[in-house]
Amino acid sequence: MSTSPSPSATANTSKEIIDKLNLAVVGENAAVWAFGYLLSFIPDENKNYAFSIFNLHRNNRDKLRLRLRDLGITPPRPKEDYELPIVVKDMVSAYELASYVENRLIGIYIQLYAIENKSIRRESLQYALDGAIRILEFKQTPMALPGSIT
Amino acid sequence: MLDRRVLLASSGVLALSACANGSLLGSKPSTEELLIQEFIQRETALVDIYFAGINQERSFRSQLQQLRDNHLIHLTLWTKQVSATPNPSPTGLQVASITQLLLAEEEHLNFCLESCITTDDETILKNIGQIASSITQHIYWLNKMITPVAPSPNARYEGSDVGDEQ
Repeated sequence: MSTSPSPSATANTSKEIIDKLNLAVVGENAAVWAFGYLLSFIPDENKNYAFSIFNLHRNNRDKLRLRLRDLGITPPRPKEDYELPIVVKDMVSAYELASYVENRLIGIYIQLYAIENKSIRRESLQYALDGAIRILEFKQTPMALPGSIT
Repeated sequence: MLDRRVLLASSGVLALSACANGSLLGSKPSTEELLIQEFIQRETALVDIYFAGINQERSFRSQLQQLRDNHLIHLTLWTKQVSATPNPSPTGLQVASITQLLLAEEEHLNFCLESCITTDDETILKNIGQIASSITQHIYWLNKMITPVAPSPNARYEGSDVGDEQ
């Protein structure tokens, strides 16, 4: 089976969509790193759940990378280290970091879905909706506009 | 403090300003304008039903106020769109249960999901995306309110003989 993209695949996908897909991969790379980091601060009874979120972000990242590769584009690589926006010192701050990461990703997925073709739009929106639920599971309260960067 | 009267009065001002804009005088509204109008009506109705919910569900008052305030913010997202014609449709309900609020939110989420494939307007789609994410959280929270908390397997109750081993 050929792994090269169809000639029209890249042409049909606008630069704007490719930029947003790249941004989503960068975001998911950061999420994988962040969840790997904060796992050690999560109490044992919640560790399985946090680990499942870590895996989920890894899966999401891999799906997005595949989409980029199908377009003949090399996806961005994860950084070796990230600067933490929140100092994590206990479970509470670990949940804050998790919510922060999810909220940033919601914003990215909403930007992506808004420019995508109607046939695949809901899939990207679903990533945002799932992230919104996870924010509540990290002990946060509902937000008026998830995905906004304040 | 915000009450229904203030909400309806402010909606009236919005309606007047929309007429003053003149975009609807003699011209057929576009799909996007109709969509925005529909969202304004639905968000206004949701704010209204939350007022009724707050009247009935006193024990969840602060949580419901927070959700109602989120809907007020959603409303402002749409009323920024100058060509919209706010047309409030208060539900007329004086009281509403959590289950009624939940059903109203679920219906609104379905409307958001249907609407996101009826337009290609990026700003509208971004608004819908953020509102759908917020409503998903509302549904989750409201469900938590009506779901009894299951006791942990090793829970012991004061005054009960369950688990009293002497």
